[in-house]
Amino acid sequence: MLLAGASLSACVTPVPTHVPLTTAARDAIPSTEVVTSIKQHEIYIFVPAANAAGQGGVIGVFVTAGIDGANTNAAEESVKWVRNAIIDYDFDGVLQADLKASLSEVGFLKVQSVSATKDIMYAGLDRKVTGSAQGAVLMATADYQFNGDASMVTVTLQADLFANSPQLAAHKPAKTANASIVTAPGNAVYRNTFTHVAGVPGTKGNREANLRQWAANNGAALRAALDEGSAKVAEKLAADIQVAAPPAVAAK
Amino acid sequence: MKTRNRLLAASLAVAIAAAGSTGAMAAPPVPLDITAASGPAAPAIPAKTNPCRIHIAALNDLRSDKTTMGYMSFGMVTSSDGPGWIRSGLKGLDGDARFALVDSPEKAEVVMNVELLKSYVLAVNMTKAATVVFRVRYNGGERSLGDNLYRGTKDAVNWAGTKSETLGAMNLALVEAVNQTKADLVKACAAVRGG
Repeated sequence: MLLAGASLSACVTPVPTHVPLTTAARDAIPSTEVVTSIKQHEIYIFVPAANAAGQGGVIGVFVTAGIDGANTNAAEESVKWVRNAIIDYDFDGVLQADLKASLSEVGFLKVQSVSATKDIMYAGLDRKVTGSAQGAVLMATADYQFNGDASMVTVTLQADLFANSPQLAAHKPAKTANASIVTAPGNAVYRNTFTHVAGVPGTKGNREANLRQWAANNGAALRAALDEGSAKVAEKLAADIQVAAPPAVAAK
Repeated sequence: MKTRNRLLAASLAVAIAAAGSTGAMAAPPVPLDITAASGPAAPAIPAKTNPCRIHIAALNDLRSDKTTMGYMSFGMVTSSDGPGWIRSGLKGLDGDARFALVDSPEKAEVVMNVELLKSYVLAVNMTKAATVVFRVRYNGGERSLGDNLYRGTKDAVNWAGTKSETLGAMNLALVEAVNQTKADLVKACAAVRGG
């Protein structure tokens, strides 16, 4: 059993969280479409998975489910008012505008368009790439959430640049390339993750008090935090994608 | 055996939902599509004495994404007719003896103009959370009677992760939002009748 596990892990090359863009790949980009992929519809409170320590089997499943249900219910109930305060806020649109502004400054990407999808299935994402009129598609997968006590808002952006032209496809990472799924992470010629965290000067551990601060004045603090988070992750992406990968060292 | 299968399915549902939280998911099976036919069962109509006549006029879909409502372990939840689904839920008002739905604004004392803002379901660990949000603008004749926002939610353990379980949660969220309109409808009707 151990041997089987060892041999399996030896065959699978993990996909790095950061794949810098090589200068050769950069020069092979004919044009780029940026696609934002955001599966959530509203902000949420991060709820860690429950762990019914010491309870195994069927009882453990029920106990865990019960704790999970209670935690999620409490989080969803408390975040309602904040959601209502920013019901007209369009994070997806804000991020699209920020990405367009930041990435249009990166000349070699030759950004032609920015579009959006909420289809996060590989089949749907693959269609966005193969159906694009551009030779490269930058998938920008975003998430925004409160931490458990709602003292912080975190905006996360996962960027993956996929080839949609033969000249750029030649630069796919050989070790992790996946022939059957176009948007498999291992096919990205560039990838990295960016986060931005903003907080309120609230009472640590007091979720309700913190949420009241975020929701005050029609959600002004939360709108500002999301605006800032979106702009910052877009700026970080634009800066990072221009940092060229070090040239490969020739084997001796 | 049935329970065991359910538990196994729940574990599977959780595992797939967790996998989906960090990236793309594998090829989808047939999605759960939300249409007018997906709504709650039509209400039994009680005997009514001088009910307030209500007409549901425009139902504008203002969601930024009108086609996707979330992801569960079985795959996507789509909405080819989100407004039709909301309208089917609003028909539940006819099950309240205080109100009677009428088919034209001319026959109505109060007209409801509805804006659909959010409708989605999400998987959080072993739980599913369904949400429906809409705004209603009330009119009595030419007169505006105000507006309000209604948010219906339903959180429940995602036992088997089936389509029917998910649809059930979404319909309960819709019914909760519809029920929230009743207090405002009573006020709107009183305002019209009181002049």
